[in-house]
Parts: sequence; C-alpha cells; structure tokens
Amino acid sequence: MDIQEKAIRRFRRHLAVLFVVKYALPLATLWGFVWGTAVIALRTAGVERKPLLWGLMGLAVCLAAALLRARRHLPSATTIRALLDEQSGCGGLLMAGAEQDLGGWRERMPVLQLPRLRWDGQRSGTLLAIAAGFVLLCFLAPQGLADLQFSSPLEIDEEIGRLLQQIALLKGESILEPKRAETLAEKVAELHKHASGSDPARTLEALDHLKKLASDTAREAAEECTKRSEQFGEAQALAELLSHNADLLDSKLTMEVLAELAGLLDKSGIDPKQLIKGLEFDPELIKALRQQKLDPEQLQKLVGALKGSTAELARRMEKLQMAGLIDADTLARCRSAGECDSEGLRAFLRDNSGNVSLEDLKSHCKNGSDSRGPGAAPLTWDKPGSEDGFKFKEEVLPPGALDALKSTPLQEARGGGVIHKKTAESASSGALRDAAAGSGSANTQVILPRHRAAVERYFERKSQRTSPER
Amino acid sequence: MSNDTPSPALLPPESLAPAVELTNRLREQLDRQLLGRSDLHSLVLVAILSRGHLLLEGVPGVGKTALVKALAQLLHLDFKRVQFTPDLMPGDILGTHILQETAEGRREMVFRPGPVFTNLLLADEINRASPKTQSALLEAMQERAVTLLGTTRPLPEPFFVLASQNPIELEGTYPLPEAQLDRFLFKLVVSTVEVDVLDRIISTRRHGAPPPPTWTMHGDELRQLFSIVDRIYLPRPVSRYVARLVAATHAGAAEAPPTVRSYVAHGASPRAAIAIAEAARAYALLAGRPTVGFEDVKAVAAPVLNHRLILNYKARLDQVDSFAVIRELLAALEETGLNLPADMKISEVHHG
Repeated sequence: MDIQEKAIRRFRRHLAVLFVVKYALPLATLWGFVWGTAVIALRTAGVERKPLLWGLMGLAVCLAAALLRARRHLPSATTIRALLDEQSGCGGLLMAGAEQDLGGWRERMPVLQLPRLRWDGQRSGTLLAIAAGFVLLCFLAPQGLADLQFSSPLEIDEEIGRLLQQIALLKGESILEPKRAETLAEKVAELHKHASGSDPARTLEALDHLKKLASDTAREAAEECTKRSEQFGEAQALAELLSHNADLLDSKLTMEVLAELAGLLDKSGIDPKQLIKGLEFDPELIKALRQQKLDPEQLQKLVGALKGSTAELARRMEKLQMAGLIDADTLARCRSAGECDSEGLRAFLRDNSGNVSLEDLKSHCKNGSDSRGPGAAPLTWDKPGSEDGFKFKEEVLPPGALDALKSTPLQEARGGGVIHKKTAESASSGALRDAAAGSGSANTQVILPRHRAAVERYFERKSQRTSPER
Repeated sequence: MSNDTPSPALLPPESLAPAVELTNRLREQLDRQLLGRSDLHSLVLVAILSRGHLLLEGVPGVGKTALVKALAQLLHLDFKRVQFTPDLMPGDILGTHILQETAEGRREMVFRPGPVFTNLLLADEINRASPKTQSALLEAMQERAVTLLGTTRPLPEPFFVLASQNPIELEGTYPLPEAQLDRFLFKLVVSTVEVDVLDRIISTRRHGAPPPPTWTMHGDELRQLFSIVDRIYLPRPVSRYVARLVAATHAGAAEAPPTVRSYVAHGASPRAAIAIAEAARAYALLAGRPTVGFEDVKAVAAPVLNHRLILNYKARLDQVDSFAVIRELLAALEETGLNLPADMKISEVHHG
C-alpha cells in the first residue's frame, strides 16, 4: 500500500474516532444521569453498591450505538480522497489514482497534507464530566445520607417516652416480669431507632402493637387486682364480723366463717412467701388462721392487714390509671370491689340471729351487682306462675332472618357455660361483635376479655351451688 | 468525450509537456500583444481549447476586436469580422445564392458563402443585429454547419464564434435570446486596463497597434492540443461536483444556497454542466495537469454560468448580478460532498 493510501486510511480512521467520540459522549452523559438516579433509588431501597456497578455495561451499549451511528455517517474513502486531493493541491491526481493508473505522475504527486480536524466538544465533555461526577456521588454517598435523602425521621419521641414509662411502671409494680419488660423496652428502643417518615404506617402500627401489649398486661393486672380486692373486701367484712360481733355467731358459724376466711386468703394467693409485693401478712397470723385459732388481737391485725392490702391494690391501680394503662372506670371498679359493707352485715346478723348461714353472710357482704352474684334480695321460687292461658305467639319470620337462622351454626350447650377465650385482635369493641348472626344464644356469645373474669366468677359460683346438691 | 467509455491511461508527463509548452507560448504571445489582461487571455485560450464559442462584453475601445484578431493571428486561423448592424440580414452572414452565367453561357444559381465560413468569426456588437439575423448563427454555432435551400454545408474546422457586445448604449439593440446565449461557452467581461498598463500602451505603441507576434501556431499543433485536451482525465468526484454545482443553480434544489433561492428564476441547463467539464479540462491543461481538479471547475464556473442564470425582478431591485450569485454558490457548495456535523470543521492546510 503506497503512502497516499496509508494517509487516506489514517485520516479516515481519525475521522471515525472523532465521530464515535462525538456520538458516544451525549449517550454516555444521558446514561450517566439515568444510572446515577437508579443507583440512589436502589441504595435507598437497601441494595448494596457492588451489584450496581453492572451499570457500567450501559456504557458499552452507548459505545456500540455510537459506533453504529458513526459508521453510518462516516464519509466514504472516495470522499476522503477528494478532500485530501483538494487540501493538498493535487489537482485531481489523487482522485484519478483511485480510478486510473497514474504511471509517471505518481512521483510527481504532491506530498499529502492531512488537514486538522476540529471538533467543538467542550460542551459535550463538560456534560459528561458532570454526569460522571453525579454517578460517583451517588455511589460514594453514605448510606445514611441515602436513607435521609428520601426519608425523614418520624417524630414519635413523646409516644416512645410514655410507653417506656409505662413498661417501667409495670416492671416496678411486678406486673410485668423483668425479662419481659426488658424485651419490650428493647423493642421500643429499636422501633424508635428505625422510625422513618418514608413508611410511617408501619412504625405507628408497631407502636400501637406495643402499646396494646402494655395496656393488655395492665388490664389483666387490673382484673386480677379487682378480683383480689373483692376477696380482700369480703375477707375484711368477715374478719370484722368475727372481731366485733363474734357474739352474734354460733360456734358452727364461727368455724365456717374462719374456714371461709382462710379459703379467701388462699384464693387471693397470699402466703408467707409474699406472692404479691407490698402485701405483707404475718406468717404466724396466716398459720393461726389456717388452724382456725385466731384471738381477738390477731383478728384486729388481720383486719388491718386486709385493709392495707386493699388500699395497696387501689394505690397500684391508681398508678396504672395515671400512667394511662387503665381507664377511670376500671379504677373505680377496683376501688369499689375492695369496699365492704360491714355495718350492713352486722345489721343483718342482728336481725337474723340464729337463722343465718354462711351463704347468707356472704351475700350480704357486698351490695348486689351483676358481676358479684345476686343482690340483697334473694331470688325465690316460692310462688310459681301458671302456664295456663299462655302460649307462644307464632310469627312468620322475614326471609332474611330465616336465611340467617338457617346459616346459624349449632353449638353444644353445656351446664358450666361456654366460655370462649378470645384473642386480642377481636376484643376491641362492643359485646355483640363477632356474635354469630341469627344465633340468639348466649352459649355462642363471644366473651370479651374484660368480662372474662366476671363470667368465670359467675359460673364458678354457680357450679359451687349445684355441686353440693349433687 | 465522456468517462463512460473505457478511457486510456492518463497522459504521460512527456506527452503533456509539449502541449503545456504550446499553451504557455500562446499565452505569452497574447500577453505580449495585449497588455494587462493575463487572466482574460487564459480564459480565452480555455474557450478555444474547449472548442467553444465566446461572448466578450465590454465598452468600446477596451480591445475586444484586437484580442480576437491577435488570437486569429497566433493560431494561424482564418479570420473574418462581421459588424452587426440593425439592417444586417441572415444572408449577409451565412451566404447567399446568386444567379451567375457560366462560361458556356448557362445561368445557374451559385452559392456565395458568407463570412461564417471561416475558422474564427468575430461577430462585433452582435446585439445590434435583429433577432432574425442573430438566430442565423444558432445552427452555425451548434452544428457547425449551414443549411440553405436544403443544402447543408459544413463549416471549416475548427470554427469559433467570438462575439462582442456593448453593455451601454442599449437603445436600438436586441438582447441575445437565451437559446443563443446558452450556445456561448463563456461570457467574458473585458474591462479597461489599469493606469500603468495604459501608460505602457501609450508610451510603447503608436496608435495603440500591437506588435506583430514572434511566433504563431500551426494548424497541426492546434489539432494536437485538441486531442490532448480530450485526454485530460475528469475524476468521478469532480464530475459529481460539476453536476451538483449546476443542479444547485436551480432555486428548488436541495443544495441551492439562499441567494439562488432568492434571486434565480431559472437555473443553468445540462449544456452548462458539459461546458464546465470541457472548460475545466482545458484549464487543467493550461495548469500542466493531466487531471481536472476542483480548482479548475471553480475557475471556469463563473464564465460558464453567468450568462445562463436568469435572475428575477428581486435581483434587479436589490442590484444583485449573476456574478454575486455564482460567488455565493461556489462558497456555499462543499466540493467533496463531505457533510460534517455543524460542530466539526476542517482547518485548511497552508501550502508552502
């Protein structure tokens, strides 16, 4: 290949490179901005940096596209030859050399002067540099910045602080086990740490769940305290009766009262090992009570201890109420559960002296309520009514009710009552929620947790009544 | 001679050199006889070597007639001059039949050839003759033959029409029709000389008469030159450039520059492209090259195109002439067809 041909090829190659660079720069710039945006978006979603380097393949695609375009626009060798002929002043000799044998004119060919190619690529280069810097920035930005870039912290400091105080209170009052309390506190701290404005619903849902755990624990403790308060109240009334009105009781009744007293204290879980913190009972006193050998002094002590315990329980409930773990109604219920009508009991005893049983005494310990058995007036069945002249009114049910009745599941009826242990998710509103449509039966009724203890007491009392008869 | 037929190899340098020497001597003699117009003399020679007709435009007294006379003398060609006047008849140019009595006493019509039967016809002030007379030259210029009374008589070889016209004193003149204008290879403007040249003429020549030539060309040498010109090679990119150039003279062409779009009513015909190609060959010979380059085309484009572009009234209003249009056309049209992006440029190389 002679010198001219080499010069033509070299120039064409140079032109091709320039074309490739010219077309590649805008494509690479565009890809840089797209890639950088994708990097920052994926890093925010938690993707690591290393896999994102695959975006470099996009540059190869840009280069390939630039090569194709450059190839399409690259001038032909004939055109390049004509250009060099003109630039070098060959007067057509160089062009004729591709079509004819130059013969003796080859030596007379002027030396080819390759012209200088100038491309104003400053703007393209600047934009590419900006795009490259943008990509680098997106890769090197700290993860925290990437997170913060698209998410703002969620302000839940107040709720977290309050919840931690509640957990500390529950732990302090021995309502929550220390280990469990620590676990909950750790969860709350972790929730606070990862709270993000990009997904507030998730954070708030988790917070609500933890709050519910705490409030459910407190509510269960309140029910337990209410139950114990009731037992303490009853025991206090009986103890005061034994202490101040022992003369109104015969020996048999006295023994029964003592036994009942001991049974109540056993039920409340009081033992010398002090199961309930703060409720201090003298072990000797408990021993004497179990042996049913209490002297008046010991009875006084017992009354005082029971009063104190009831007050301690009420104080605990107050703390829970002030911390927002229980409502005022629950607190009132707990307080009223510990109250005892000692005067009423003494009056009843005086009025019915010699004709009073332990059950009578117990029924007069409290004012009547639906959660604590029948009221002051006993239910009697002395005057049964007659069914003559009465019949069921027949009524045609509407079609909707009929369909509902047909779809009602049949439940087994038991003597002790059906108690459904409901999960926390369903125990959130009215008593008839989740009741089977058209059932109309109390046996299939869903028992809410706050009613659970009451229902248990009711059926326990009822079973105690029926079992002695059997 | 076209490039479609298989062309012989390039003229070897030893064949071209004598022809270049001849053309140089011709130019030298012309420059010696007529002072101060070397470029004009080159173009005149180009026209002659291209076997084309020439239209010289200039005010009276600039040496148009003297140029043609000197040329005829140097080329050793038969020369005739016809002063065109409004009453000039076609027969006065072409010839006529006359009734003549023979020696035997018979009377017969004999053709008396007109001044057109010559090698070099100077048609002085051609725009003064009537259109009928002007058109009498059409066949002669194109076909190099004259047909009268059904008989076609070829004109001598070579045959050139060198016409002159006065750009002033247009009253009573008849502008040449486009059909006839298109048959002139070149239209050259003969301007007045510079002061120094005028001073030399006055001081060295009595009555302005040019000195006799010291050398003249023989007929065979002219024919040799013609054959050499025919063998000058036209490369494909150059012929492509010529075609693009002529196409761009039309306002609707893709490559037409704004000036053409604005001022040209009708562009050049394909005859113009042929004329440019032939003239470029002759120009390359004068430059001593066996091939035609882009610079040759650009050198002959203006003389070839300036009388073939028909400008519109807007050009008249804006006082734009065809030379201005051609200048912009040559500047705007890229010779090699290299369409680089707008932000890419090629810096020209300065030759030492």
